[in-house]
Amino acid sequence: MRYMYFIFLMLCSGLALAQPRIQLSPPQAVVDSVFFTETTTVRLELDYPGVELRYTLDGSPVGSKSPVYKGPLALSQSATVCAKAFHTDFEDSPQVSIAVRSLKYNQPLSITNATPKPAPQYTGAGLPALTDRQKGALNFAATPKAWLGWETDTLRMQLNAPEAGKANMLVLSMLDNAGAWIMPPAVVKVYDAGEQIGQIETARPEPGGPTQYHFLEVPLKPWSSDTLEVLVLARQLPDWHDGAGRPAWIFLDEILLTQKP
Amino acid sequence: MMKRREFLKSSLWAAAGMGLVSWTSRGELVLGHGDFRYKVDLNWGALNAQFYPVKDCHELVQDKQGRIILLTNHTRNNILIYNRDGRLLDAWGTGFPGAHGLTLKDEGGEEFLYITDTERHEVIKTTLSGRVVWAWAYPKASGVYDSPSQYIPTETAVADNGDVYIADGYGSQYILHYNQKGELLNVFGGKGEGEAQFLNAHGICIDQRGQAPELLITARQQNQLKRFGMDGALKGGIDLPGAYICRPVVHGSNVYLATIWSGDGSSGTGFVSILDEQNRLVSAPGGVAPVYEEDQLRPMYQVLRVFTHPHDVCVDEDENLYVAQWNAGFTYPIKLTRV
Repeated sequence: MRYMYFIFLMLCSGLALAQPRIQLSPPQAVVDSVFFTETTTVRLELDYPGVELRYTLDGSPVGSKSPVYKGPLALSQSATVCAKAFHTDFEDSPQVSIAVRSLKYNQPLSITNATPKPAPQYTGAGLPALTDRQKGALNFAATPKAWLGWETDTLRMQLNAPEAGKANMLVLSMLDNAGAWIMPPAVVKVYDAGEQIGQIETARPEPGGPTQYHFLEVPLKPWSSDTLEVLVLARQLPDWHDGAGRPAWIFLDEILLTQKP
Repeated sequence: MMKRREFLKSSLWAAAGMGLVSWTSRGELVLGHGDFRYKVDLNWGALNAQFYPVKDCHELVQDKQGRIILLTNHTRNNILIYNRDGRLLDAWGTGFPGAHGLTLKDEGGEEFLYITDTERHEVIKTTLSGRVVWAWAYPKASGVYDSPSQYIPTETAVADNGDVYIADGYGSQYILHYNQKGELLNVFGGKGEGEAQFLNAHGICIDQRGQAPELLITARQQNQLKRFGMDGALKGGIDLPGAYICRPVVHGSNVYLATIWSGDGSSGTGFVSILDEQNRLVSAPGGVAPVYEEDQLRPMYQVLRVFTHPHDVCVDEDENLYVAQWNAGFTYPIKLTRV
């Protein structure tokens, strides 16, 4: 009988070894306020015995030599905090990232028109929501007033900037959630009275990317009028995606004009 | 001689003493908290997908023979019947493209299945071998629907008197109450953020733990479990922040809820929620340890990627759990053996 029990134990341990390795979940990253003037605080957490969290502040990949998280991170400048969880018994977690943005050099701005209009189910609190400095949640359904969503190839917006010409960068806060067919646009172009003063192109997303938000930064050449036109060209969903070939949804929650010192 | 469960417990505590709280001394992963801890068997229900394929594994029930009955929306075999060891005993069903909700009811000695189909926009009652007994079409008589497309039923609950409650969780969010003859008696709920309304009334069950039976209904998008009288009167709500709960399953004095997403609702998340008799979260296999501060549950999130979108949990007579998952790469149910 004892012998049988021993065999049973051997079989069990053999099965246990055959089980796939388990991965840690990404750490929770919580920020006081994504937009701030003086400082903001980012807290990281994955409350499980033996877990170690490591992070970077410049958006670079987190590795086993990155600084260990020991407590809340007080930040006084724009940063992209990336974090991963480590544990001897489990595979490293996916990386999580959270971007924070100083408004120290922010310029006044309003959005006067958007064509086409946002999709009826994702109108947010209208165009003013894009300049209210209220960040939407990663789970866009949780903050329906913050996010505006478009299913279109091309989105055109008119911006009114009373302090004409002062800003040298346009920043679009966009959502990236491939599972919900939402991706940052392929190209953003900015025009001043018909003349192109800025352009940025984004990389084609790879499968399995996390749900995150991006601050797309478009450097601007000198400009002079108080009205800018922004052209947003949607990403075509890549061939690895279920919706391959169709335009990805454009989800925007904030637009900033900043003057980089 | 030490009983098996006590033996497992003592070896678990020995492991805990070494700081390896997540493993048994045999190297098996242990999940959960407090008295509700489980060994994980990821391969419990695995079958050859060429012969017995699944898409989403939506729900599971156990019949009185002890068999575990799985509902999937794969129309090759909508129903797969396992024994508790994960051996396939039977397979049937080709007519349920939107197979979603599965409820079992013993009616005078014979057990019946109630299947909600989100694509057929109806609820179908069958025998355990798949013979169709009855179907509830879209509830035109309720006066709150203009077309079948507004009605996408996700779950049923069947009372001892034969009354059937249908949750329209992907449709207009009403709860429809029928009598045994199929006559519509009551309509309540509906879509909205009011206390007696729902955002995703996904699951419903009858809770007989108290003096009078009640309905437990999930408001999944709101991370809330709502309590109603059998007449549709609101009795209260239980907040489970960070837990997108699918269907309540009452077993003994506990409520078990597959939690399809967790935290901020990101893809790849989810765990299993277990409530005590006061409806407080006491264990979350796959999730962070539940903590209450001033009677409020701290927001929950997933800590280990063991589960991918759990959609239902079935509890057997030994309080082992069987977990069916949605959108999880065509995988079969996972078994959690209580330790």
